[in-house]
Amino acid sequence: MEAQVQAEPQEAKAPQGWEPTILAFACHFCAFAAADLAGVMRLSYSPNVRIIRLPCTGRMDHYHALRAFERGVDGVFVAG
Amino acid sequence: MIVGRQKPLEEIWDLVSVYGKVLVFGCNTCVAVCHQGGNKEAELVASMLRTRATTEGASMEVRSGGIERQCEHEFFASAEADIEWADAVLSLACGVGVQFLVKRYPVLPVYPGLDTCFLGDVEKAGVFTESCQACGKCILGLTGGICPVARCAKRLFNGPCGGSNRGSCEINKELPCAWHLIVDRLDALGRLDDYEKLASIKDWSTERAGGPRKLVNEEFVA
Amino acid sequence: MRRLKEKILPQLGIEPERLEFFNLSSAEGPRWAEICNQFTETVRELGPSPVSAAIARRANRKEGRR
Repeated sequence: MEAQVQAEPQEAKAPQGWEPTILAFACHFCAFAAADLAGVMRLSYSPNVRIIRLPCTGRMDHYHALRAFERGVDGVFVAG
Repeated sequence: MIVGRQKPLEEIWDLVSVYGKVLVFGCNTCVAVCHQGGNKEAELVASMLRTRATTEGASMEVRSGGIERQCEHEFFASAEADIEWADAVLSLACGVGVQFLVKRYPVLPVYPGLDTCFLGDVEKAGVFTESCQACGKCILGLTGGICPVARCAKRLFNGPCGGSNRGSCEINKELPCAWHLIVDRLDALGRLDDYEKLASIKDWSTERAGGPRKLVNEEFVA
Repeated sequence: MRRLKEKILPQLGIEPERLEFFNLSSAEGPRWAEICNQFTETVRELGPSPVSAAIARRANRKEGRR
């Protein structure tokens, strides 16, 4: 039992093959358009980032970011 | 309005962690204005509790809800289903709302999510100042509209005292001397003569010292 | 959003660095790619969030039971 308790934090620190899940909240008119442009320019970038498009980052609420962390997202950024 | 402050998550968790289904219940009037206990804050606290439950490995269902005021029966209809569902309610109302829930639901465990602080105004966004102590016998008409009961540290009626220093109170330089404000204001109103009048001894029986208070307006009572 | 970074996330044991804000224009495609890469690396260094670690532990336990 004790061994198991000790093993868990280690597993949490550096699990093998772990990839961070990142959530981006992007404004339709600036950051999302920039992401679109990155695609058109055929730039390759981190596949860990999932994007939620907002009509404007003014739509962003504390609750949206908090819900993401609650569901196990490792990092959240807002861009606009 | 009534000003409150959210309790730390740690304290809230200790209060409600034994329950399987918890309703975080917002009160959308006073404590919503101070961004601590409104229906929006209920969503946030519910999410924080769910997150905490996940990291603790505890199985707890948390919902959020809320009504306009937890201190009046009239507002409860839309929340009955949520309250029915819950094993316990974490109320984000002031102490009045928490106890109103307790009266209304005699066997439902109800816990406070806020510390109720005082009756205050919104000085500016995020800053709240105590300005009334509900003493039950208003004397603002005699003091230029500035309350020495709430705003003088000694509750003096014939101030200022010797601790008044360049407009500041001796207990804290940041705290304005209420009697300095009163004199300035009476002067501005051209009513300094009022300052010369000695205030008679105040009847404190209408204050909390007279025991818990109740007000009945017969004309509205069915 | 200071409320999240200063009040809420610390109470949950989630590092405030896991939440970030960027300003960019629609013409900055390369900057978007750079932000994504840099932020991913920042979070990779922080490791799994306490929540995602707990979710993974729970999944592992379920796996073990099967």
